[in-house]
Amino acid sequence: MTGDPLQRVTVLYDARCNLCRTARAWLERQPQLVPLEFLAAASPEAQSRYPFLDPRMTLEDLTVVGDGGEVWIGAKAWVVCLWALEGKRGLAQRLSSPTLMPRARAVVSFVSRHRRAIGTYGVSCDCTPA
Amino acid sequence: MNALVFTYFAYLALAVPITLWVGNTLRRNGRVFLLDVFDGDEELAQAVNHLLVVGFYLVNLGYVSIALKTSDAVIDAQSAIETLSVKVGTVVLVLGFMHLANLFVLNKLRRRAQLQSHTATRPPVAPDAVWSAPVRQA
Repeated sequence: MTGDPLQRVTVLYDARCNLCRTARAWLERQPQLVPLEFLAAASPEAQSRYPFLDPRMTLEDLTVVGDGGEVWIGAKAWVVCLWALEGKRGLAQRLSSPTLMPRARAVVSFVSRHRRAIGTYGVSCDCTPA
Repeated sequence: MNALVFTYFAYLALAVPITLWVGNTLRRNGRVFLLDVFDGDEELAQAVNHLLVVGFYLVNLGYVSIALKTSDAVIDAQSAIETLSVKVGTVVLVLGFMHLANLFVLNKLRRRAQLQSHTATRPPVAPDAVWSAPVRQA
């Protein structure tokens, strides 16, 4: 249901990617209004909990799943993560405006596509990709 | 009392009451905004409102005072009215600008309070997909 309050959020991130782990650590440190839970994308746990998600897709783009079964992908997933944090709702609101959303999408997808080149990739991985 | 002094008195007699009236309007209506911003905290709203209104009065009365002197030659009723009109007109424009600036600040405060509010229940973006079967959480 899209009208019910969003009470918790599961963040599926690429645990093989250093940048993504840094982002996860940053999100984890922030005070949260809506609790964020982190799961390595395409891990057995993620696959058994969300069989409706294509594990390859969740490894491509940041994916956020709400407690009502809502799925946000990429830049939208980032907006939801920011919205869940205390003091970042203004930023989430601004990013979601029609003028900024396409730019946010472009930046997120650029970083996402090139994340293998940023920092180390595949080091200290605790996930089992599909 | 020559025409120039009369013009000055008339200017003050118009500019000061207008300033007081605008300040009063701001005080009366700003309270509602600030109450909303500060989550119904009456005391804080009143304090901030008062501080804003005092700043408003200081800036405007200061401007009214500085703008009093004229270098126009005021010798008859016509030149007196012309000078007075320009002076009062400028004061009213400055007041209008200040008033709008104040409203802008109040509205900004209010919007920020709304955005930061913990009461919003849904994120500002619609989901890409919704899975209707129950989702198992940890």
